[in-house]
Amino acid sequence: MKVREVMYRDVTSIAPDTDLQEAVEVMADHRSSGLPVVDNDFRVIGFLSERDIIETAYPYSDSRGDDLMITARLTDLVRKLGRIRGRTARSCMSEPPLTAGEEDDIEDITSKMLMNGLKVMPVVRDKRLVGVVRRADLAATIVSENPED
Amino acid sequence: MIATVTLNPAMDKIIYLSDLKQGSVNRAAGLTAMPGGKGINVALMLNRLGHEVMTLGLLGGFMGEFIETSLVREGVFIGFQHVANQSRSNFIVVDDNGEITQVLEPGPIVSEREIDRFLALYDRTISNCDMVVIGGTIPPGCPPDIYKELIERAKKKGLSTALTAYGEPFERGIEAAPDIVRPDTRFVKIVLGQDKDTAFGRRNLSEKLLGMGIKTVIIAHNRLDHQVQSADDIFELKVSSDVVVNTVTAGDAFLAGFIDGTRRDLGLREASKWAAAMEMAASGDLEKRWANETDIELRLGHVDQEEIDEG
Repeated sequence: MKVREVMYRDVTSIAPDTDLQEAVEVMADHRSSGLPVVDNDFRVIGFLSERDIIETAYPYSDSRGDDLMITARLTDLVRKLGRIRGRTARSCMSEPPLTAGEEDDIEDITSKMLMNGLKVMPVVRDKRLVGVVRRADLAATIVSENPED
Repeated sequence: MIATVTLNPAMDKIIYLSDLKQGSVNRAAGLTAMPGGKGINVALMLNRLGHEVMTLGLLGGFMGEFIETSLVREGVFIGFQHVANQSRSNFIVVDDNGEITQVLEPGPIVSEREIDRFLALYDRTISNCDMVVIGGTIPPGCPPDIYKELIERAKKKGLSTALTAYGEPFERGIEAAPDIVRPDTRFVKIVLGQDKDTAFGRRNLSEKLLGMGIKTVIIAHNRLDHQVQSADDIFELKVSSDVVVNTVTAGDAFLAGFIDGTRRDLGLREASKWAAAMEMAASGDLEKRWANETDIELRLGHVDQEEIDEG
């Protein structure tokens, strides 16, 4: 099965100069744990996750593994955290980002996401954003591919 | 990829009743819900015809979730700015006699900040597209020159543009000279001071629009008929159809068909005929089971192209 068959065709993104407060609000609005960061030509140049923001706020914490809290609650937290005030997406995004192509095999992408602890991975065509693969979609696909007898 | 913009999308609810009685309780026999709004309609139709389409706009609340989910399920790409207030519902009540009553909500109040964020999203996203189609009403709080702004931004990036709307957003939008214009004439008789129900008025209107730098002007009249004019051609399209239940999305179908026809490298006349056949297919279907290529081909024979006296 190919990525194009399971990808979520949402191209919501942020610019590299988006401030973190706004980035968190967009994540909460879209109930997403991370957002692709794109340049003026819509090329994906980074990925900003909840985890990137938390690690920026708590630089000495060891927040390996899954994220510490749900995105919606981050909105309040962020207001209280001086460390991220004035910071932009560019300053704490992951770059270069891990991305998938529409014709990639989902087994490869699944293992790539698991190995790197990603919940969301941007899907690109000619480096430009065309959607995302979400762990939730992969799980749903696995269930539908292996129905109970 | 084609981008469509719907700033005031809706959940269109078709409610079937045996007889609508004002001032009393009416129990529905059935209900169908679907995403609506001009840009969304055009996007879904173009998607059905095999084009890659991205829908952009503003939406909020669970109506917004319904709209997003429905579009993604159809394979349309989405890029919406979420707003704090709930997107609207439109109620289309159909009784056993085929009488249609519509109640259209105004839409959510949107803030300046939400619009600014949408504009930033729009700028980034349309870089991946070669055409932008803008249409419909704007929600309360949106500046009336928003369509002009969107067209100017798209043109700066070298994209072709199309506009279908009415009222002040339309009048301000055409100042930016989009490539294709189809005034939404469902609710108005007079557009830019011209009576669209007379041949003289239509001719004056399209001349006026061409004079503003618009390349193709499409003017609907008499349910499904159209006058089409470009810099070097003008003609009339007449559609013979016995079954017209949906004039709401028929106009969107014409525009989608025209864009599809143009992308098939049909000339202006053939693309317009293709568009009219698509409109005819859409007008016979209230529940938006969009036309495919075969549906259009079957109806081409019902479209007459007539010359307009150049004098």
